[in-house]
Amino acid sequence: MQKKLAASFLMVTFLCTAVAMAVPRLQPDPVWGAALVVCLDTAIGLCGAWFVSWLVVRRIKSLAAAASLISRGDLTQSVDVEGSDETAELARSFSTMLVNLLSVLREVESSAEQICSSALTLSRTTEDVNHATSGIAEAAAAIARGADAQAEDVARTSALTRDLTGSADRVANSATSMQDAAEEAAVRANTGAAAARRAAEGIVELKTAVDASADAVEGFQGRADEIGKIVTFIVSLAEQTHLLAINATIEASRAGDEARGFAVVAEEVRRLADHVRGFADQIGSVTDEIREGSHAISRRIRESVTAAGAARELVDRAAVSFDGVLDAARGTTDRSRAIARSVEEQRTLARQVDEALERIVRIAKENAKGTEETSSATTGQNASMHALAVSARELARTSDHMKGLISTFRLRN
Amino acid sequence: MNLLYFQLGGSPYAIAQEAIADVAPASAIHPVPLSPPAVLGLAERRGRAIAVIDLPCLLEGTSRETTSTSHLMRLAAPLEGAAFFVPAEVFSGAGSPASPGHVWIDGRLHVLLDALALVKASTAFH
Repeated sequence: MQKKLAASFLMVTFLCTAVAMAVPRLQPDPVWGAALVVCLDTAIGLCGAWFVSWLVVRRIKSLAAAASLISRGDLTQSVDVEGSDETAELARSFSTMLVNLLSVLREVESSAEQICSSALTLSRTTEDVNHATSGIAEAAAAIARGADAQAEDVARTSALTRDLTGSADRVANSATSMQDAAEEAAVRANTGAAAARRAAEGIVELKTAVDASADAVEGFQGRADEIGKIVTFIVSLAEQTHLLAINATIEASRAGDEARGFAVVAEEVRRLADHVRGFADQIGSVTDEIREGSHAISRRIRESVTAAGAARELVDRAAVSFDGVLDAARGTTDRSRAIARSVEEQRTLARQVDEALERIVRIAKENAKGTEETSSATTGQNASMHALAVSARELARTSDHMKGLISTFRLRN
Repeated sequence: MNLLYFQLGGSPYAIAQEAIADVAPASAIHPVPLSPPAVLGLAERRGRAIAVIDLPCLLEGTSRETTSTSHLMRLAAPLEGAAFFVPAEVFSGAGSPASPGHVWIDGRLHVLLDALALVKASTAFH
């Protein structure tokens, strides 16, 4: 710039000198010549000054225009850096600063993008971790509740086992009582069987006696039938006598007054025959009743015989049942002893089960305690992850804000 | 008046004793072809054949089977060749007249039968 200014000044000086030397030749009048020289030199001076100012202001205007665009955020402007004067040096420095600034801003933009993406990923990850931690906490709580329930169930089972032990004791006592009762039943079954056999013998004797009675009643029934036949014959005789008396009465009435006495006798005979007929009818009725009664008695006796036979069978069955009861009582005694042995074994097993259940209860309580601690730890972790998620979201918002700030610059065409 | 009386179908009947020759248990009756319906047939009585007239058929319009209580009332002269078949017990006793055609016997009203009218009715009955 200094060289250009010096050259411009020498050129103006040279032109002014050349004008001052050439005007006296063209204008002889010294006044007009001096005036002409002043005018020409002034014009040359003004042109030189304009040229010098153009040289200085041209680059500065270009730099000012670029600075104006940069101040509005447009960093995509290129600056003309040709030349080697101070203005070109200023433009080169300005361009270098602009390139560096653009690079820094692009780097900041990329970093803000990465920070935002990472913050979002971190936020989602923390949310996932938080969700998983919540699941773990719920599972731990469920495990704790299950462990508590398991402890309660085991406690109840232990109580049931103790009750079972008590029941086994009672079963043992009952088995002992049943054994005593079975022995007593065996004694009584023996007695009952003997009594049943004696009853069977008595029933046989009774059946024989009843059979004899039935035979006697049937014989009596045969006699009643004979009486019935005799009564029928008497009735027949009475009817014939009745008719004979009627016919005698008819003949007497036909004979007139001389046969009146005969008619009276015939009438008496007829009445007698009627009385005989009436008595015979009564005897017949009584005989029929006797026959029916003897039939009923015979039937009842036969039924008694049948019932005695059935009773005999029942007594025989009872005797067999008593024998069965005796065998069953003996079997019950043996089984009672076996039950007592089984109950003792069951009692031992129940005791071992009770001890095992107590160990299970202890382990279940320890598990419940561990799961509760796990649950509380996961709850704390959950809070931390929640805070981390909040921070990540805050970081994402900050990076968004940074991106917003950077977006005010125009970094690309 | 002396009467013979009996019951047929629950109704009491009586006939004058002098109209009857005798009373006997009903013996075998032999049907006679083409005889009137009220004539049961012929029966034997004391070596003579007599025509048997069915009283239930004449009095009630129904016939009865012969039973152990059935009787033949042989009619007196002039109708000694005929007998009434009576499927009931026959009794004798004294009666007193009530209204025409009826008599009292032991305080009970009986229908008094006319033997001749019954014989005529049996031959005219179809």
